[in-house]
Amino acid sequence: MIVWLLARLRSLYHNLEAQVRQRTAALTDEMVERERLERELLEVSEREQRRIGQDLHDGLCQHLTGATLAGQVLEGKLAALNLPESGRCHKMVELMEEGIDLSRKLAKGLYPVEMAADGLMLALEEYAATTSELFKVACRFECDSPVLIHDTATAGHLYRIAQEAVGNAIKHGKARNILIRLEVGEESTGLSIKDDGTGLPESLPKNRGIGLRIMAHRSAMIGGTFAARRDEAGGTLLTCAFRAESESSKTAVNKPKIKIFLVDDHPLVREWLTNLIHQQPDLVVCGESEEAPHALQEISRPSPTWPSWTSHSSTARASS
Amino acid sequence: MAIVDITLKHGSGIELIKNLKASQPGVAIIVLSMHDERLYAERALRAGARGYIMKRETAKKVITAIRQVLAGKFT
Repeated sequence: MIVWLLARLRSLYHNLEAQVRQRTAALTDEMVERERLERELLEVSEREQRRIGQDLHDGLCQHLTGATLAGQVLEGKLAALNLPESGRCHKMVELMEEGIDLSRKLAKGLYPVEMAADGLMLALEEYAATTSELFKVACRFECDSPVLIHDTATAGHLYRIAQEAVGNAIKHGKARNILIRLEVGEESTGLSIKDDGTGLPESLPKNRGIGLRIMAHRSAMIGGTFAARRDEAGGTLLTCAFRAESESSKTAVNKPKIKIFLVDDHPLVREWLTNLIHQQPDLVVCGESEEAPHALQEISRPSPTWPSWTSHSSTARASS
Repeated sequence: MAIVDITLKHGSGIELIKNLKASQPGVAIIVLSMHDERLYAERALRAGARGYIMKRETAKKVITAIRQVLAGKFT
């Protein structure tokens, strides 16, 4: 009897174990399938946004440009006949130009990152400038050394993370200063968005955590890790650490850089150009001047930091 | 490469381009200017610049223009 009971118990135990294994396998399959669907959904959404952006840029913008040109021609004809309608026509042309500008901005929002490896740096810089202008906040982009992202999908995810974080900082955090940073570490590359707003609340209502979840999901999709926390100095700090194509980046950085000399009488323009050029992995500003004689003297002078143009291979090749 | 403005504190950008072309012919020159008049662009290109771009253009367009000039194209 006891033997029979023990055998029966063992049999029941094995059955139960088999059922647990089956259920676990089914759950794992379900999770894998759900992750695949989430990934596909995000990819389809990205693709669709890109398509609408391209259609806006290549279709509507071109159409509006044609209409504006036709309007300008009409305005000229009306003005030549001294007709008062030329003023109204001018206003119409102005409105159409505003329409072109708006369409371009919309297209840019939908299709922000160009296919080039340095596209993310340029897109983030432009996004920071546009945000500052539109929302009257100080939004800056910093990148001490070039971060090249060769995979467009990765660049797209990083851009959307920054966009979501900045949007949250302005909308929910009421931030006045926002800093977007891209930096290369020894182990990984990091994107961080720091603001001086009210900071993350202790607990988020369900409908407020979606943005954070999507950012975390985007990070996971590029093999990165996402973290969001209240910053000790106030505000919020969001980080996404990921592995960029370090070898490609290093190769690009280690190549001899093409030297550029700036001649402009506005210090702000020189500073803007310097920042812009230094974000390029293969370009460097080697000097600047605000006047013609000094510039000519400097460019003609060979020096350890400013080699003769003709003897510097990359410059000679690039300039020929 | 040299990025040159048309209006400078002392001397003119157009004269600088001419002088640079004479003394340093290997230097590629691109003009970054406030003036959108065609006349300025024509003068700069005649003087020896390989490109002419407006300061109001986006960062991306400026970089694209620099790269085009570095690649030996006119822009």
